[in-house]
Amino acid sequence: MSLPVTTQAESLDLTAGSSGAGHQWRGVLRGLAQVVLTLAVILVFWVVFLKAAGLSPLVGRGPADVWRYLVSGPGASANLRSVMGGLAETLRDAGLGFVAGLVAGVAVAVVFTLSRTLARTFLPVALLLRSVPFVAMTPVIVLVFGRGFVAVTVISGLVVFFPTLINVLFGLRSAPAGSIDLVRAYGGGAGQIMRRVSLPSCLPALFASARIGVPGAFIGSLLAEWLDTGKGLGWRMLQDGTTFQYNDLWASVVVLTVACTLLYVAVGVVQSAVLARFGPSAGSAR
Amino acid sequence: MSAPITLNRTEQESPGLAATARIGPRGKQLSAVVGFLVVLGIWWLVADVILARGGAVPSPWAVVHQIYRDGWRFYGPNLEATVGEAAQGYLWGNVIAVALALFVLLASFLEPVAMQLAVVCYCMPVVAVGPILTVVFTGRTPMVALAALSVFFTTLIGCLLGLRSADRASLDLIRAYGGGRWQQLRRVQLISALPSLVNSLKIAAPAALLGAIIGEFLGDVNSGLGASMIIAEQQLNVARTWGIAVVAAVIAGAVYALLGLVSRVLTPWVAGTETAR
Repeated sequence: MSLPVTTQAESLDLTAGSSGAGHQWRGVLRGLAQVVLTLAVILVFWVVFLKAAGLSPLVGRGPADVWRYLVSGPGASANLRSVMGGLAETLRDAGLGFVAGLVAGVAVAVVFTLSRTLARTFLPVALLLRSVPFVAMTPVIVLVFGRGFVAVTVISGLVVFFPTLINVLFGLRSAPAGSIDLVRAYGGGAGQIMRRVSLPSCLPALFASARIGVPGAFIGSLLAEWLDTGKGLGWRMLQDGTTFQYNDLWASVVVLTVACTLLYVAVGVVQSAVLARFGPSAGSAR
Repeated sequence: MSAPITLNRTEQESPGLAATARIGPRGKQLSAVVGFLVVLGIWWLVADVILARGGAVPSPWAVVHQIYRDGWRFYGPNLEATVGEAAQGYLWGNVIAVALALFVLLASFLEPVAMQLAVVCYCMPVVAVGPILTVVFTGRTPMVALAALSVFFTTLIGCLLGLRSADRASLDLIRAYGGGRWQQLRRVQLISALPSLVNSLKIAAPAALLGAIIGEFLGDVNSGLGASMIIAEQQLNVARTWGIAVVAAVIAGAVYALLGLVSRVLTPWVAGTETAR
């Protein structure tokens, strides 16, 4: 799970392009060209996939169909509004769980750092649970928490909680010993060390967890909607499948993927801003 | 891959933490056992005391008993179906990811595009693709495809980062002795990519299982762990629903641990990769 910690910094560098002072414009242009190329690859892949699978045009919809359905065709604005309504519901579901999981993960990591005994006792359990695919437990969670938004929040929260706990915990522990000693030498206690050294040095780990958590929270809430709450895009797609609304189905997938990717990138942008503020060496122990 | 190593380092070097960490391996094992017992105890307490009337949380013993009663006749075919899908998806996803990583290594201007593709793949919710795949394919193909999709991102990124982490000086050395691009790849880059690749293959195993189970949730098959979990839930067979979930978790954990052992055999030079566990 610690792998994505390194992932985030690297992939971010790629989108940032060259950082030389005089080459900023060229870097931006190159970044744009890469994004366009990626989009083109996706569109080509989409069309080829439809052709290769030999789908009837009734079932398999191409990029043009989705564009017509959402943007240019008759009734497009109503379609767009209704898909966006579903998306808003899903975002609310996913967002609540995401924030709850993130906050709880950081809180428990701080407690584990302050108390070695608690960490020794419960960290092995947490490390074990980290490899548990919680989304696969959705039926159990629905049994326990009922068919409401609590179940949705719990699922998306659990998906985010364990990776955050583990990543942030290791981030907190990677705080430079020299800085800790400095705070201690000037009379600072455990709280001061936590606030001035450990928390800043765990920021990269925190943001990495937030980033890898974005798709997880989406998947968790979509599945919960699909299986029980009867709201949001997850539910809509179930209905689309059974009532042959394939335009709506394909459009929902596109909208979801775009939303999730944008959020993922947005976390990355916030991350680079914050890390620039705290200095790139924050958490450099990795 | 680096975090557990840092943990060991801080424990040894930082005087502040070392003072509180003077406990032998025996003591660590003991407190881990205590931790598991406490969690089991809380589960038991919740099941039989706090939520006893709702009946939604069976006690650990009830779950184990149900697993025992269902036995191999129930779990055998279901395991075979789900693990088969997950294994096929695992293979496909990883092979495609490694192939793409090697291709991108040779055509390095495509690397940012490959990275972005991987991110989009990662962000494309499997739950959203599932319905389409179940419309497009029949039988168990959608589950295999979802399992493959679930492992693609981590393996591609892990492989690329590993290939890139090759030591500059070693690459130069090969060149100085007259070796070409292929020699550099074979003697330096593939070896330096191994720890990170093996690590992502380890992370991919539970992910593939999850992909297969989600596929069964969404698709219309009636065997497999995911499918029978839904059926048990709808029949309000609480203990069986929990039992299947526990079995799925145990399998995911077991494969993860097994691959951890394999990684220690394959890449022994990575000091204590998972000893922090």
